[in-house]
Amino acid sequence: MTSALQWVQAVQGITPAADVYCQTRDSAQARVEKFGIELQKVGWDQDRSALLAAITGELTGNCFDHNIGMWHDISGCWFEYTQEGTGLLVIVADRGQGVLESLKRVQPDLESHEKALALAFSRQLSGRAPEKRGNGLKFVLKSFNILPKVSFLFRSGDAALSVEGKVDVGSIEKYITEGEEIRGTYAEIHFLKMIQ
Amino acid sequence: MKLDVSKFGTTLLSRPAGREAFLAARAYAVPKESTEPIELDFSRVAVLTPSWADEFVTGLREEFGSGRITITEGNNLSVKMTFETLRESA
Repeated sequence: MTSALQWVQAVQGITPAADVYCQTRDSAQARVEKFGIELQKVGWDQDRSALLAAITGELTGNCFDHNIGMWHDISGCWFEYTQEGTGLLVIVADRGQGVLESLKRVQPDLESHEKALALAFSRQLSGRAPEKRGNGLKFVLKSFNILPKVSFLFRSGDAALSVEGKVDVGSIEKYITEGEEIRGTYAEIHFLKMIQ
Repeated sequence: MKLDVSKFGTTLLSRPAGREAFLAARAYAVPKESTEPIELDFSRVAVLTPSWADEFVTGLREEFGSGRITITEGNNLSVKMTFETLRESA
């Protein structure tokens, strides 16, 4: 079975399995709502369930906000979550244009995927300017300051941002490295332990 | 007047949904011939994102004036984090 990472690494996209594939924004929203409810059923408290659903909602929302009409081949997003003991793994991915191409529309001199990720996570900047957007990824990082035992990987192009726990947004570059190229974006969040 | 935001849904995630809620509130929920303050009460909302809140609150502020709009956040963590994020970016 294809993993989400293999899906965004593939030169030619294939339609993901139905249980992880959200072709439309509505289907993604429905799954995020279900995700929040299921978290509470397995013992996550209401506050953290709400915050995890909000984080996931921002990530899935970005897949559509920045890629409608710009997909490499397969539209929509990959969204899966897996209980890992008392922890949780969440993956959100898309085969869209990626952060660099999106931000180049408002900052044409942007040269690398690494710089694009640094901007996306540290400044209120959006490829959809002049619409006033660009808070979602900052919200995601900010949430990790109050959700302990979190590790977060976000990849776009050949850049990867990797953080564990609290983030020093003022020095965001130190979390970003160059790696293997993907098509679109790939986000992986490990909530290492359910804390009550 | 107080507007119970949970009437627009309790899981409020996307920008298009926030925009639609703003348009519905402008059309039906907020009296046109009035200058009374508008309290947006989020205390019964279960999940809120900055994307939804930005479309809804910014739309209402632009339509009716920032001075008329007040926000009651309640205790939900996603609501509090959302408004904290939006305040920092304002």
